[in-house]
Amino acid sequence: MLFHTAIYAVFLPLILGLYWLLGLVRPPVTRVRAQNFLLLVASYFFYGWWDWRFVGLLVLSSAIDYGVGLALQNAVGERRRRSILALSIAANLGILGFFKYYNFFAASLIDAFATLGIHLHAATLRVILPVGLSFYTFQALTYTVGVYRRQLDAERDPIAFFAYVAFFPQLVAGPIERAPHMLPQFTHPRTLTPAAFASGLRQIAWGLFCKLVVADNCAVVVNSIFDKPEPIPGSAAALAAFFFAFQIYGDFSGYSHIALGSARLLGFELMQNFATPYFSQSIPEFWRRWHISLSTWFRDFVFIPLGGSRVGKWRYARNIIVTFTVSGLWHGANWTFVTWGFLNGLYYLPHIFFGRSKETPEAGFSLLRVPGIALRVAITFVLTVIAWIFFRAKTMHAAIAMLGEVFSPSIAVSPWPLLRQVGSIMPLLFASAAIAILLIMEFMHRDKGYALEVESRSTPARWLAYATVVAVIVCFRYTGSALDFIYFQF
Amino acid sequence: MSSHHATTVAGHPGASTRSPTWSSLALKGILGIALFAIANLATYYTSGYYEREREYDEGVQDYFTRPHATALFAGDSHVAQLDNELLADDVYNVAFGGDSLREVYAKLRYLLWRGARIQTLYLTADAHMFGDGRMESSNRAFVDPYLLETLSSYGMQSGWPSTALGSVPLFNDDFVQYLKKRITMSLKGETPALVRGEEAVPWETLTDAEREAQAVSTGKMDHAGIGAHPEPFLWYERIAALAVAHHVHIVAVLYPAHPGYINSVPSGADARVAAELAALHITDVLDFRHAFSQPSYFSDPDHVSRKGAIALLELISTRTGHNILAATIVPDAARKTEMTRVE
Repeated sequence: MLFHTAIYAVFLPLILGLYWLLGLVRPPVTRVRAQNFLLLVASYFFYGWWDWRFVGLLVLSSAIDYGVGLALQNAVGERRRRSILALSIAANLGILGFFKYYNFFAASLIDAFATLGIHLHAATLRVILPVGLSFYTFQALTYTVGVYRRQLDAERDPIAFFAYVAFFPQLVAGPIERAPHMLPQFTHPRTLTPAAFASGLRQIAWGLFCKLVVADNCAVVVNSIFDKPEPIPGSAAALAAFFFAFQIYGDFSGYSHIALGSARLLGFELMQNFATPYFSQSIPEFWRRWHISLSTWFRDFVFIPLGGSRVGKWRYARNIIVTFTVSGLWHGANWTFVTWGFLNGLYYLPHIFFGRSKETPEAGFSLLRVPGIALRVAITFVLTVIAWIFFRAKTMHAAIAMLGEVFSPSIAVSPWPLLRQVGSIMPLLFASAAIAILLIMEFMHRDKGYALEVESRSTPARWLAYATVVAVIVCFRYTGSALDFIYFQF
Repeated sequence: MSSHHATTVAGHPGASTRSPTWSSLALKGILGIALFAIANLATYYTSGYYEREREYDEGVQDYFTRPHATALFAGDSHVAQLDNELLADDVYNVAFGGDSLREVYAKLRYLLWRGARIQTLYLTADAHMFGDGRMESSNRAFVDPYLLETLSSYGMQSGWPSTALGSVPLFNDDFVQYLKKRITMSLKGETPALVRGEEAVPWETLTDAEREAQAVSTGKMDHAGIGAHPEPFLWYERIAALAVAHHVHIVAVLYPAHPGYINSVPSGADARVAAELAALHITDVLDFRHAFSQPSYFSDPDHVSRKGAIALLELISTRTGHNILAATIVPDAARKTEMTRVE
């Protein structure tokens, strides 16, 4: 079930109504259990909307971690605890590895042998990746690791635990919540204040704007250029990469906003996943603002265990490269994603070797600082856009060819004839207008959790903001068949 | 980095320092919904899109103004040339320009659902109805209410919630497409042909060579992709099944057109359509494709003129033994001499 479809517009109010009706149940313990049970059923229904077979995998994954949690809690001796944790990690990553990477590694192995003149005929399985597997696997791992590290007690209530793993607002594309933050919310009574209700609706509206107006309009332009079989001028390639930067941002941040808004309506608080990343002045800052739940997951579970930053510069650099490369692999079983991660790791290196040891924001505002800030923001954005080419391209060959065009004289060739040929002039104008609105709103509310968090503004300003967003969603939304969220494939 | 939904933030002029209450939220919600409803009403009554939608719906609802109608014509603009004013009291035409077989199905389903006593369906069997151009109709959203009301298992591609949502003007994707197109045209400084008052050069005044060229060009465009998509055939099968279930007899009709248009049908396409009709046991096939040769019987390569429509209705009456021409219409005496072939 997609967040921006009519079925979700029916599903969510229905679940909300039942959920808060169960909020009348006394005593609170029974109420929480009843609400959790409803959430569990609703989440499995939500997930099963794609393919019922995958619900079994979700149940299996939850059952393993539930059992591991209890075993860890009851285990005596560090060695035994470590073994149980290893079992949990192996089981979770084993499932993820099989469904997500089997084909990739099998094909890569065959290719590698082929270059040596050895032709293997090992047939790859037609393994289908269950939606959201990477997300809920990582989230489940935070639980077993959390119990192992004694950050939280094992959850004994299976309904609460299974509902935590399957919680529909963030099941398929995050944010990847940490168990110590999220699980207690399943065991305590939830309340809904009018302010939280209004905020939830606003964030959903903002998410719909990001997805339907920004991302999907950009997608029309991006797809028309990226999917063209013949070579394209560098200017068009650069334009496509630019719009893809906003497509993926609008797509994924839009999903996250709807997830956060939906969860808030149910009385849950999820972590912020994006914080105006395209206003970042450096690559490290970008990664503190982009897909925060995954970035911090890799920081906590890969980067720090590798030694983190409190080591020599070379080891720090190695840790960064490894973390980013693994993060790329997490995104997809394709060398394009691996390269994207590796490239972002490379971008990070100057900050390790030449950057200031601690970034301290300069106090006060001065017009003299604006050009410098703008330049840093522009450089960071351009570097990010270059990396996005690898992320979007279907193959390494296509990515390199496109990048080659961007850095060729054809960058000076007008892209308009091509855009006219593929019928993308007007979509480009709509997408540009959407991006402008996005950036203006985000800049105005850059200190907020989302750009439509305008309740502190005057009444006319608030209503103007609401009316603008609603009008833009209504008039300029993409109207083709519903496009999947990009991150569902991960 | 954590999300927050504080209700007050200091520093903004005019900032509200009061948390909302449920009653104030409800009030704002009602106000917002009222404004949205007004915007929808304004859209419905002022936009060209909904003007066309009303015209379309009238064309269906007016069936019930002919209580004795037992025969129904259905199809696209080729069929729509047979104005209802030319038809006898017991015949009605629901055809509309741009309709695909999905729209035909939806209309027939709706009329039968509403109790229409249709005994004969004159269903278009023109080859172009199975081509690329009829994969998606510009009228597709107009028939959504019919499918929704009749709880159709077919035709609501994104499911009934999406279809239901589309009945709200500002949630209707097709309306938004229309709106975007109008905005695009405004930005380009263009106006629709109808607004500009442009009219095509009368068909009769063209030379034979010009007519041939236009017919071939239109024909090639209209007949592209026949047989490439299963959907039109599926819709035909659904129409046939619906007709059988309601004891409606189907008469398949192939409409007259310029030979250049007809000959542009790709080889094998006619056979594919004929095989479809045979498979559905539709044995009454009236093939009038080559019925007329005089330009005065046409308004363009593939649409009959009023004169052609009257002549065609006469032909159908003769072939079926059912007089479907309105009593007030004077038959064209010259028709027989101009008819070159009636199959």
